[in-house]
Amino acid sequence: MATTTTETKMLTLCTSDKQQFQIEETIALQAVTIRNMVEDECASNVIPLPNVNSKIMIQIIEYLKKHVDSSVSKEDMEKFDSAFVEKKLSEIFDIILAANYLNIKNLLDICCQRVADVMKNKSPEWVRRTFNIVNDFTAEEEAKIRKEHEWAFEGVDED
Amino acid sequence: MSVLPDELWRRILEFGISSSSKNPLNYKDICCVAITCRRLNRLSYEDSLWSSLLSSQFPNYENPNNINFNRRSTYPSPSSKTIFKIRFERERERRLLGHRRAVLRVESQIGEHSRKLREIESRVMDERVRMKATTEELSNLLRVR
Repeated sequence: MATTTTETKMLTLCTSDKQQFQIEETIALQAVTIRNMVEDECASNVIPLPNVNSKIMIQIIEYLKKHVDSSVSKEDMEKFDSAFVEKKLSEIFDIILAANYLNIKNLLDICCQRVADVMKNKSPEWVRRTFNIVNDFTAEEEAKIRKEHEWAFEGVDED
Repeated sequence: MSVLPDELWRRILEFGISSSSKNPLNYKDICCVAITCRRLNRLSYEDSLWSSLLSSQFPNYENPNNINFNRRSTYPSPSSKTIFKIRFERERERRLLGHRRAVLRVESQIGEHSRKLREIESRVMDERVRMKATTEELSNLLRVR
């Protein structure tokens, strides 16, 4: 507690590609993993984050900076969030991994929701193409699985 | 897609079906996921997923967990997905019967109306014959006079 209260305490985050990011501690501490690291080893000011690259870190900092600002209305925050997740799916996957590692729950949640939304009302073929999923069923297995699921795709429309 | 570990895919699916999302995934979407590949097939069978889908799709049914609890001693409980499928097909059967009943009702109405129509037609014919006879009688009378 040597630092004076007037001075903003800064933290340095070091990403997997050895880039350093200087950010305010209050912003960084929203990530539970970083908070735990700071609490556990109060000596060092450089936080190594070997699971996050700088490209993703920039986006995560953008998110954290917005979310630390308590003057932003709930509505504006939701607008920010829905604009934030308008990214390529591959990028969303990287952010999900990073948010999971850094333990930023609401960021993880909005990204998971975004992926789920993509799957709504789509065919298996479309889902495979969109998510680069390799169909690893044999032809017989696939036919069997399709048969097992016929009940969900045929018949009377719902009331 | 392969970059994400199972736990995160589970989270995505759970988020997808939760009622908090604007446009939640339904049984059809989850079945679609089951067809894509082995890994998602395995994850899409998760019992917690289907038990949530059960309670959102069939809110009036008894909670399957209670049923399972009572039966646990004697039978292995069926998976939530199996229960969902059974209920879904039963519901569909019920709706189908309902539709069929409605169709039958309309058909019998049509039959009733056609019968009345035929009645009216035959009465019209009768009237026509009678009218013709009367006209003839009238013209005979005129001639006699």
